[in-house]
Amino acid sequence: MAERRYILYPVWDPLLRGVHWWNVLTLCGQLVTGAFILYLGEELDHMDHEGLVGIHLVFGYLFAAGLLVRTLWLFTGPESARLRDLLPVTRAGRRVLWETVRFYLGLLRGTPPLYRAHNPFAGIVYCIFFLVAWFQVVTGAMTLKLAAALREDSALLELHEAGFFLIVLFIAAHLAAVFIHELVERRGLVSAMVHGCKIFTDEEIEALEGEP
Amino acid sequence: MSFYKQEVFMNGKVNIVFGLLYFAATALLGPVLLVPGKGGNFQKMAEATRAVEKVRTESAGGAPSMESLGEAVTGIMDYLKDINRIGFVKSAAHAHGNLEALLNVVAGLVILTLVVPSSYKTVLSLLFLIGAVFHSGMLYLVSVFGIRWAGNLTFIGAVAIIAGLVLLGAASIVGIRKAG
Repeated sequence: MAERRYILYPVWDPLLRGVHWWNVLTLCGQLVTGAFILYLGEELDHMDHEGLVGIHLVFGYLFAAGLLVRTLWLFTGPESARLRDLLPVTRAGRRVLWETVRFYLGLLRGTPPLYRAHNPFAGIVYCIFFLVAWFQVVTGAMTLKLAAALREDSALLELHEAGFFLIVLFIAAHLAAVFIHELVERRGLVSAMVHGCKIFTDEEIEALEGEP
Repeated sequence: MSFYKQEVFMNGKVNIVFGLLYFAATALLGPVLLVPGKGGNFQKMAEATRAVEKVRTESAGGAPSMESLGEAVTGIMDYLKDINRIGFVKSAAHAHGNLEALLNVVAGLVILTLVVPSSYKTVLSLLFLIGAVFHSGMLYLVSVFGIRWAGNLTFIGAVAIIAGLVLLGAASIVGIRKAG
């Protein structure tokens, strides 16, 4: 049997990786301060509460900066960062999408689908995440424009809280999916988001480069 | 393989052109819209001063009338409101407009000289354009044209400028190289 060669194949560009980890850090800051405000808000005195809201606002601006760059990068970045790579708009993308759905429904049995950068199934979820994240940025900014006394009963704040839970759900699903795909595909997904290269065999690279 | 397609879409030139034209527009808007606004303030200030003077004169001969006191308080409040509406807000738009116009010219010059892939130049260029249009542009819509909802969008411009400055700084570390 011929020896299988594994190759580090460049997939993610430096800006995409930088923005990904920037968003991870700022989102963590948002979630921690948001959770404190949500669950301990009534127990805190006014000054502490407003201080936490201020930190939440700063993290919000930082996160929005990363989100804006990533959104622009969807339209201006290299092919692996573009909206076209996230959504199943090509025939190959749709094929991988259905293969992924079948792979999940078959409880991860069989050969995992082969794709270079974004999995089209995950790509759809990322697009929904971007929309929810923008919704959070906008509702957060609009809520802070309200007077403090009006904020508590505002419908905007309730929508912002609902968005918080959607983002927590997304993070849990993202981490679980990365763990599962890492386990079955062994492409070094986490380290790929650090140095930019996934691991493929030479046959896989041949198959990927043969695609339209 | 290369990540990037070598295409030139926005390489900084558009920021220089936009910045210069935007600066011309903000310079024009200054005398046309801001200075007559200040004139309005002077009129309100004169009215307030007259009302206060009337109260002072009446006080010299006993208690001032409620009517004069009311006029003085209303005059002062109108003057303060006017400063806030015309002086402060319009000068904020004017100052930020000038600053962001110049920022686009400078950023455009730096982007032109950077040795980085063109997609980076495009995103940097867009960030500074969005920054000016959504920040000082929206401030102008609010203060000069009275379109209040536009004020809600200014944070997009602020965020774009911060992101643009950080990224341009990072890109300058690797992208400014010695000739030859």
